[in-house]
Amino acid sequence: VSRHDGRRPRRASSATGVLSTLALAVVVVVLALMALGAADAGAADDRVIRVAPLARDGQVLVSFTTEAAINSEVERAIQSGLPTTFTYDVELRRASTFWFDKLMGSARIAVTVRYDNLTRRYQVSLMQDGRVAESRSTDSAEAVRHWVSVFDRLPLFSTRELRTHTEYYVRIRGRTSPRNTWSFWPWARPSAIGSATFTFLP
Amino acid sequence: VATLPTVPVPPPTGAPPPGNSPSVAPAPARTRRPLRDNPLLILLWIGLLVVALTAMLTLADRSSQLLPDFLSEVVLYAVSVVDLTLMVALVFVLARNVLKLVVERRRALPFARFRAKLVAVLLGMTLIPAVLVLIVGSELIRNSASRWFSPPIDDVLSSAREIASDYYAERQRAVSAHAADLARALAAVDLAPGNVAAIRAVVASELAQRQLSLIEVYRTTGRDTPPVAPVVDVAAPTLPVGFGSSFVLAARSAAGAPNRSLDPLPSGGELVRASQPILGSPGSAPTGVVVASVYLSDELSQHSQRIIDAYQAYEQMRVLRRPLEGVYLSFFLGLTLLILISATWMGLYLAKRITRPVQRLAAGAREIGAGHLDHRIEAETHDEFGALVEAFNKMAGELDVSRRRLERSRLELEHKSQEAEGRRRYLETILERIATGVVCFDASGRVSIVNRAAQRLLALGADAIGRPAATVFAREDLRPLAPFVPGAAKTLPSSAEEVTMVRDGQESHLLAIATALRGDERAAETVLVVDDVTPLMRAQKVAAWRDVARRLAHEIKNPLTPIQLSAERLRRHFSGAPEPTRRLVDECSGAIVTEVESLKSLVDEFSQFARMPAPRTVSTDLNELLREALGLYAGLLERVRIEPRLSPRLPLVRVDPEQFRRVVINLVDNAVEALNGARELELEPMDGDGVISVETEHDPANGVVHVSVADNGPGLPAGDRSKLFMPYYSTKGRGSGLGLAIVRRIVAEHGGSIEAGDNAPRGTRFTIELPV
Repeated sequence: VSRHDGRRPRRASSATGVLSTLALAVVVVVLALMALGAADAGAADDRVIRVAPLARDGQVLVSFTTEAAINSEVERAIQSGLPTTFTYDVELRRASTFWFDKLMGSARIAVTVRYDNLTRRYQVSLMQDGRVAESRSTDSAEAVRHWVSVFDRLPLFSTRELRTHTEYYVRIRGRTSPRNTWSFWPWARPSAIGSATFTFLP
Repeated sequence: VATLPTVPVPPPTGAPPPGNSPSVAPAPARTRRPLRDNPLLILLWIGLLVVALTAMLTLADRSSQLLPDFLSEVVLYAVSVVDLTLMVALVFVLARNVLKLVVERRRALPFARFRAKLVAVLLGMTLIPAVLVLIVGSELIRNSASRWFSPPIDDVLSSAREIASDYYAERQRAVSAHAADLARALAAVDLAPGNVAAIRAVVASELAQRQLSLIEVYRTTGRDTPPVAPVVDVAAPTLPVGFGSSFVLAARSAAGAPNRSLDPLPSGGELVRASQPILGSPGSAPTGVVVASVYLSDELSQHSQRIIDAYQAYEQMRVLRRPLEGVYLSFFLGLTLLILISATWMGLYLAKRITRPVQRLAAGAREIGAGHLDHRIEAETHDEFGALVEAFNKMAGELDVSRRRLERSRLELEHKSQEAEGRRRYLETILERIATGVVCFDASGRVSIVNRAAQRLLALGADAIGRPAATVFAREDLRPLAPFVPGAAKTLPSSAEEVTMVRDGQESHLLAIATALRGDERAAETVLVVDDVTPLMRAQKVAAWRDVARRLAHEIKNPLTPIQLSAERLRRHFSGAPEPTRRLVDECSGAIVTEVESLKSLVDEFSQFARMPAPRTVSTDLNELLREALGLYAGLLERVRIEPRLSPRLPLVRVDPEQFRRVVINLVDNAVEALNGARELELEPMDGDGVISVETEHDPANGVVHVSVADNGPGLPAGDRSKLFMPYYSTKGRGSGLGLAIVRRIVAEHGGSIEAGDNAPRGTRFTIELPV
């Protein structure tokens, strides 16, 4: 039983205080690591994806272009022979004022580039929602750059569930793998993002 | 002294068995052990920790064998998630326990400070080196990673890759050139299936001249599928068997564009292939496709592939340098976090293991202090703390046994006290109820007890208690008892002695005896016992008088008749004698006869006193009996008024009506004579009529009825009161003097008593007390 003589509680307080300080130090270190990781992840250069949706013939045709999809680091990764994948997550949404925007549909476009250092040829394959849509081979780096950054009128969504005279938007988030940066935070931000709205008129 | 019945004392609940050895303490109820104290769980936790550490170390050791992109994507992601989980766990454990410690400290729970200290020390001892090792290790990893890459290696690998690539490019250019030459040579040849021999001849010749390994010729079909169809193929004898078709390559070139490929052979080595469309004329549609191939030996292709693989691995490592560093740093961080969590948990666990038994001991001590002696602590371990707990439980058990013994002793003592109290009350009741007077003196000679009979016999009040006995018994009427009082007498009489006391002119006889109580070494207490033997003395006197009366009646009455007859004979004999003689004889004989008659009357009264029969009692309404008796005086008395004051709530009393009526008449007669006598003698001036009041009163507390006959006459001299009821005693100077003696005898034979006293404001009052 403690005596409230003004001495023991102070000693007890110091012991608990030391422990609290140590715990706080641990928490601060952890938070600092997480902040650094998040900052590192956020340090990736944000690239803009220009999006142009078009509703036609019962489908939403999505065209998009990524600026500088292949920068020097990515090019170096490709040249090293690493299979490099450019993944674009495309979402069709309807904006909502008081709630989360409604997801009308989503699609994933993945372009994988393999470079053969022996033959100096690129093997490019395009996959849509896990299915191989197209495979190409070329010697030209420019062609590869074009193929991974320019997509023209991809029929990704149906217009059956769209309301007429209603505004929708297409949002695309792009990322490149493998990552050539390290962040403590495992869930990295997308390296490119873009969106565009359109009003559905049948 | 009769002993009170003994109340059996029930044994206290849960009393220990007989014997001096303390009973074995009841085993405390086993509570469910917390999960954290389960040895199996602790072993499992340690095992998991070891497995996790081993897995991390193994994974780190084999990381060089994993693909860099697998490391940077899968492994890095997994390790980062694990690290984050460990961080959250560490923060949770720390925050939870810090909060608990703060709460415990604020509640002033014991050992909160000790636990905080222990955890802080362990955490501090672990945290500082772990963070230092983490920082140093991170720098080591970064420095080591930077040493993986150096300019000479860069140059060598790049040059080798360039050589290999250039060689392959050169071979492909050469093969492509051969293919173009072949296409031109075959432009004029009909590629129809029927011209195979001619085609083969051309192709075989070109194969030998150009040192190619394989030439394949296709013709276009003009359809989309298949766009080409094989026509002929010619292989060099040195080409290993098992090479595949170049159909795909030819199909691609069918549209008009040349193409090339590098196809591995199953037996080793590679084929460098180049396709070229065959145009019949410039600008026309291809008529076919020729594919030229050169065989590269297995050794050459392997060397080239190794060069390329080494270069790519080196470059990939350079590209993935930061993720790979992250993998190793994450491993390191994970290990650090595991150590920190383990240290924190171990600190908390050790603190609990150390403080909990002491806390439980403290709580147990509080329970014991609160009187819960059946409280026990479960021994969780068999170490020193377990021994301490066992000792505590043993102490608590012995305390419990002692308390039960004390409780039993207390109950026995209480029972004995109750018994003694009962006996004391019993003795007090006896002392209060008995007719024997008891006076107790304490060792200091002060009066300690005076029972009711003693108060009545000795006319002592309750204020006598506590006063010195010598002072109390210094009163005039009590002086005869002085020899029996400690302090007043040097030695106490050894036997009972009769003492006569006179109070208010009334004599009483007491039989007194004093006894010293010597129970121990202390000074003795003394008990004085006095018995009123006055009624006994009176009865003895009455009995003596009855005997005298009987003898008088017998001895005197017998000679009276001859005396009377003789006197009458003498008078008759001298009736004829001379006048003087005759007158003398008549006078003398007449006097003799008169006196004899008087003597006869006296003897008759004595005879009646001696032969009084036993009373035949019946339940009688005394008020009615008194009214009847007093009715006899109606109109007979002059200047004397009889006033009956009868209590209306008088119970029936068993008396002999005839004898009791005689008692009342005797008393009223006495009162009337006293009033008349006083008036005749004019002893005192009488104001108004004489008043005789006859009263009845019920005393339910003592179970008696009082009947009083009082007058307002001159009263009785104080000295005569003791003799008033003696036979042959009269203040009137006439009569036999047996009236009041007969009254007393009748009252006594009814079990009652009669007292004579002064009436207020004047006169005499006779009070009869009869039992109900």
